[in-house]
Amino acid sequence: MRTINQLPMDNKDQIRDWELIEGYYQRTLSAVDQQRMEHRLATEPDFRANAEAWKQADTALRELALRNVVQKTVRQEFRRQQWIGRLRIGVATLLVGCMAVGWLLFSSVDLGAYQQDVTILKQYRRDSPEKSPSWTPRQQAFYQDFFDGQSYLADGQPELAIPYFERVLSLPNLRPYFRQAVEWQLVNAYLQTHQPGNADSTYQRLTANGKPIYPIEPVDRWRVQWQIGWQKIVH
Amino acid sequence: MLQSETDRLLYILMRSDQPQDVQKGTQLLTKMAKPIAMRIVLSNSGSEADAKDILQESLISLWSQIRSGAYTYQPGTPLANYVSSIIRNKWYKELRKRRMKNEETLPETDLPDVEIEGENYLNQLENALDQLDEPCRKILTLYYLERLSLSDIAEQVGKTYEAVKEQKYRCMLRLKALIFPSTTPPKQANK
Repeated sequence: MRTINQLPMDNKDQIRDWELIEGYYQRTLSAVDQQRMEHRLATEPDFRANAEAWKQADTALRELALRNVVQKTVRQEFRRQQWIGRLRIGVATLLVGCMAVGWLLFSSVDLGAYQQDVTILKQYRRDSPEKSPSWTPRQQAFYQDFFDGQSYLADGQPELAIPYFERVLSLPNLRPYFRQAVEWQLVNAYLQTHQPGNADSTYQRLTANGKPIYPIEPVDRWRVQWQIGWQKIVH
Repeated sequence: MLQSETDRLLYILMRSDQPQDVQKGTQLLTKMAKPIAMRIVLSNSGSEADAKDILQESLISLWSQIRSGAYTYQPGTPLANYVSSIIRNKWYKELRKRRMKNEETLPETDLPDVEIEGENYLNQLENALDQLDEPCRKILTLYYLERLSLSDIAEQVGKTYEAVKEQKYRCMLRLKALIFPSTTPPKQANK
């Protein structure tokens, strides 16, 4: 009894038989070949046995392939969903980061809370020239220039405020608290007039003068630093 | 789309012979069943990796049941409930295996704890595939599982198209002999 498997490798008939079997089950044969196959399957038991063997193996492998599709797809979907989740978190973080950086860079530094400096104001009121005729001209000049500078800054005229603040800072022996108050206002005025170099040098002086005494919120400090850096890049 | 229509569509896709249909169905099922698997597994001493493994096993089980006819679509019976019971069943079985919990403390599931015949058969087939020699395993894997054409396979293995075609036929008969030994022709082909 001859089986397909026992035929020599170079036997063209054997290959042809396998092609016919495959074509028959995949319904790709011509009508004539289809009929021939059916005849052979009906009359040649060995041929039928091999055809059935091929069919069983093919069906089994196709089932295995489908199971493989299910396995692979679940893994891929899991990864994809994890990736989408991470992407969402990443995008949200990026957006929040951009908004924070945008706020640090582009919101105007408003030292409004410090414009009516309570400590200085109290001292001014307590020791005003009317109440304290003993004020020296230098003290009078300090308060006058400081409040004039603040007024211009509050009115949105930082370019007019700058000379007043610069004049105050030129006075010798200023107390650290007052010096820092004026320097912060001056940094702000420089930033508003897009003079990052001057703002930076004033800020460097501020930070080099030791412990900060004049109370500035950390967030305002960051904004000043970021805006100096940003203006240095764009101007 | 109504839930019953979605379930029906999923059933049709998973029953299909076409890999792309099964892929689509599995994608939809994964989307539906992932939160269920995460909830069941994470609330019962499992990790996210466990949830992934259990979900994979559960969907293979569901697919096997649909293919074999053990599960049929019934309007009014949500597929999600059925998938949920498979996941729960598989996870509790896994927990028992790990001896992390006493069997008594685990809730009973509404699905009988049976191995699906189709799953066993496919596992046997996978073992049979592993028993083949490397060239055979490679050709059959590339052709059926990776869905490469014979020309692409010929290029990959460095043989002619004709040689690969012939080898594929011989390998299939060898595989068949390993799966169904009783109906195998008396002698195996020469290599």
